[in-house]
Amino acid sequence: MSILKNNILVKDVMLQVGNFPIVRPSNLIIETIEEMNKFGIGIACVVNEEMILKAVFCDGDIRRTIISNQKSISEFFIDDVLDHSVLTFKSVKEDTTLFDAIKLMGTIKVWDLPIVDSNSVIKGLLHLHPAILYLLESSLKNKLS
Amino acid sequence: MSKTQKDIVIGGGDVSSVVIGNSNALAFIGGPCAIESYDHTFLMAELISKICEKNNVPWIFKSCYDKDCRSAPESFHGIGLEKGLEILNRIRKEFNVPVVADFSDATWAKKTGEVCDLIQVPAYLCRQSSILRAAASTGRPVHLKKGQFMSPWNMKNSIRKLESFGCNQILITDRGTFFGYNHLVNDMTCFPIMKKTGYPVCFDATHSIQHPTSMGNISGGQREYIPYLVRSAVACGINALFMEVHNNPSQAFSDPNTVLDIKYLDQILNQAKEIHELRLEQLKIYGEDNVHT
Repeated sequence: MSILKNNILVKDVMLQVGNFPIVRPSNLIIETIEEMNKFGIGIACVVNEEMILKAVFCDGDIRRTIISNQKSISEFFIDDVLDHSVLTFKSVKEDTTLFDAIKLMGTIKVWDLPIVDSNSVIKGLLHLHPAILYLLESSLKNKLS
Repeated sequence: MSKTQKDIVIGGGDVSSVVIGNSNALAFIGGPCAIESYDHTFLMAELISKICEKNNVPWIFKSCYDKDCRSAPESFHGIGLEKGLEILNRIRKEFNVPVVADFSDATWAKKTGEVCDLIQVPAYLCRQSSILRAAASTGRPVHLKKGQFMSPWNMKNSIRKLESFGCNQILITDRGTFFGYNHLVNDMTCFPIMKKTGYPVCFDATHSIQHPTSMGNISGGQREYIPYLVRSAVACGINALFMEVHNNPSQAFSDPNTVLDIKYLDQILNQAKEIHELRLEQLKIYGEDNVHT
């Protein structure tokens, strides 16, 4: 099995729904940060009631807001997460190859990539660490076999 | 990213309605702080009615039947729930004007909502879930005053409570913020901040110039600043103006040091209306007040 053979798919590696932060547009920033801390992941997927992905909110958005906005932290905490989220973001499908997904992550310089179906419903999250671990383990198995 | 601004409708049905929000006319909410008697309440409603008609300002009559937050035990507490609501109901019919009163006890909400077109939550109680639940349960629009101890952005928590109790007709009012002891200041940025909730905002001018309990057992105040603050707040985009007025302030049963002498209401309302209309015109030209990005 090799990443270059294009037979590893995103769905083999992605974090399943329930294992990464998912919030609603009206969730507060503080609630969203707490979700991100809970999973130890620097991105939250903002979805509507139908679980359609509407925006993403990342650690970087927190850093940029602190510098650019300069409102008090208490005021920032109570904003709706959608107020500071990125509405134009990249995502891939479950059957995207891991090779293409990681290449895209490198190009746009992100650690996490949302996975959606053809209706934009959130299906998972590709997190770089487990993806790399998966590849290393696969590579090791190939050498031993 | 601000939410879409809502209009709220006060009254309607068997009484005239006042629409507050967006590009609607600046509404006036006013009356004597406390209901003193039927005759006095009628006199005040008559005087306010004439001034509002002259200035073509939609208005809502305000007076309270119970002043539960008075400083001293011997201060006038109020005419009482039953008698007060009876007087308000008469004023409502005789002047065809929506009426508002606050309530300080959750058990008073139902009866208050049966008469009042707008239910007022006192500033000191703006965080109390039981009061907010009772206000929402009346089915009436809620006039939510920002506590003097609250930041404008934290009012969102009270809004979220009201919404969770089924209320989506809310008017949020600033009445000043504590600046140390016995002193209030007005942060005019509170209006755009509170507007981000999507609800219209109101400025309470006469309580903003209050010096809470500064005179030992009663509150003092500096009425001379009312016109300055009114002009500032209207320019900052309020949708309604709240002022307590009295024909003889020094003899008022409640808040004698802060109520506006009604002889000044005409000129203040006139200025407020003109500034409001100018602001609406400027919004058409320049768009929203947003230079952040």
